[in-house]
Amino acid sequence: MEKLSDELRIEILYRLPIKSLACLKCVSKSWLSLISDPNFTKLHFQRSPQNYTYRFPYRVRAEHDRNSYQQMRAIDLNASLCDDSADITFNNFPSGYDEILASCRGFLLLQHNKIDKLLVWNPTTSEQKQILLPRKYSFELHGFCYDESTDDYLIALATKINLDMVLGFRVFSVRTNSWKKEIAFNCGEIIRSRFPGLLAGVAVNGVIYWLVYFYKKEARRNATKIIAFDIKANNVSEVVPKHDNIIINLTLCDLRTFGESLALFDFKGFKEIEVWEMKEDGVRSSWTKLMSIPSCAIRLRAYFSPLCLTKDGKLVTLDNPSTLSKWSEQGKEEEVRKCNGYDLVYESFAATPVYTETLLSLPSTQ
Amino acid sequence: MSSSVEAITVLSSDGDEFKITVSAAKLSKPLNWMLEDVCFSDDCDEVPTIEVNSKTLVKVIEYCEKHAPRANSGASDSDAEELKKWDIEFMKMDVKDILFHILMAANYLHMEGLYDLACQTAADLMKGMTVSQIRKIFHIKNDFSSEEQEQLRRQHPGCSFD
Repeated sequence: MEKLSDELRIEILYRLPIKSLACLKCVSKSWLSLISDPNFTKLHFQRSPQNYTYRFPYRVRAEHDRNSYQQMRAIDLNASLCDDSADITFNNFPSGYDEILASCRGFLLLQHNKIDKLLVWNPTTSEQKQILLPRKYSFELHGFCYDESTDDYLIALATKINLDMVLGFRVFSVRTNSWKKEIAFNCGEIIRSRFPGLLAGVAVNGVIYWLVYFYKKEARRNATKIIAFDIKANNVSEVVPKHDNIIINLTLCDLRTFGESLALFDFKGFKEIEVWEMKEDGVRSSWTKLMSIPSCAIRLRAYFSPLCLTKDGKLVTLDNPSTLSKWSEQGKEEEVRKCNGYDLVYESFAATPVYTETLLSLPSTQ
Repeated sequence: MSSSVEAITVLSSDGDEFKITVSAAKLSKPLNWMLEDVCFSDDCDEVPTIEVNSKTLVKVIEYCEKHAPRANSGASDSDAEELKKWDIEFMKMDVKDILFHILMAANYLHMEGLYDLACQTAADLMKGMTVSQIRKIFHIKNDFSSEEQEQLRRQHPGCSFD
């Protein structure tokens, strides 16, 4: 019993955070290949959720020029907001890609400024894959998710077709490096575009959810629905959130992920924020209330947007363009990070995804 | 096995004798099997050997004796809190010298609690170490060329190497 066996060494590595693992790659060639091994990174991701960060990317503007960005950074939302030593800088942000659309298991989905291609990029490992869009194709809805059954990353895009009542979904598979056949979903109402443009989907367990806005012609009013695209079943449906048989009003809402489930933020006309968690048993969905932040705690803010719930159950919100807040379960504002002047500008509200740092790699193209 | 026996004697790999109470020995599956197999009456002089060195075995037995009452009867939250604090104190030890040996012993003796504790302690210690310190505790030779080394330093600006 002299040297630690490989098995025990790996057991210790499973308990280390990504930041430490990156440094341990520099120990020796065998450690480098072990820590880069897709089987190891996958098991590490499955086994140690406590070691994963929730990061929020932001841009820093150049001091002298308001219109150019100096660099991209990311805040660790589980750490104290006031502590910017937990921030990281992206030294290798791919040039030409100026919009972060979505995130999935450590990969960011980026859009090129010429809108003709997308890039899947892991900022932690620098791995990337470019995806060319079909010629003259534009989309209004997008989503990015992982299908465990096929170990594949899928990008779902949708655009309005047929009198603006039908959504056409196209899915790109990273594993097969190809587009699947388009699926049409008739919404039955006129789909409205939402300012500022692209609508980000929220991916949970192989299903991507969008809050889609409609105009009901006969009733002459707007309506909101949750449209769900099940990647595995390859079908689209509407999800109606209900609690005790009462339908939750979606007029002022936002969708986010919360761990392994979908979270619905109901702003109740800004009087209070209720956070609902959706659980699915395969047949129907049930909704439970996670927290409720009373009106007195919320300053009425125009671009108030929830970002995520941290590991210790705190809610992080963004008040565009420059204030991050952390709220307790009781609705107390516990931490604030204000960014002064022009040196710090967050991405457009509700659009920037929170991501998790991972060492995962993309499936190799067959 | 006679029910009157409360403690048993075991030998370390160095040949030293150690006493461990029956309830403490139950924390380990192999020790538990040993209890069932070996004769412990006074006229029987067979002493089982545990393939763990004396220095490590002392610590493993100390851990077992501390955790046995709780493992056997269940405990209140305040006990659990106290035990957690004890674990932290208990784990304040040299990594290479003893912690890795405890980890190997916990693995060999199928002691889940101690195994987890030792792994986590090692991981927490490694978080604060430089690359060369890690090499030292794991007896690893740096097999990167100086060019590769330079490249790694550039790729990982956040890591401390020396």
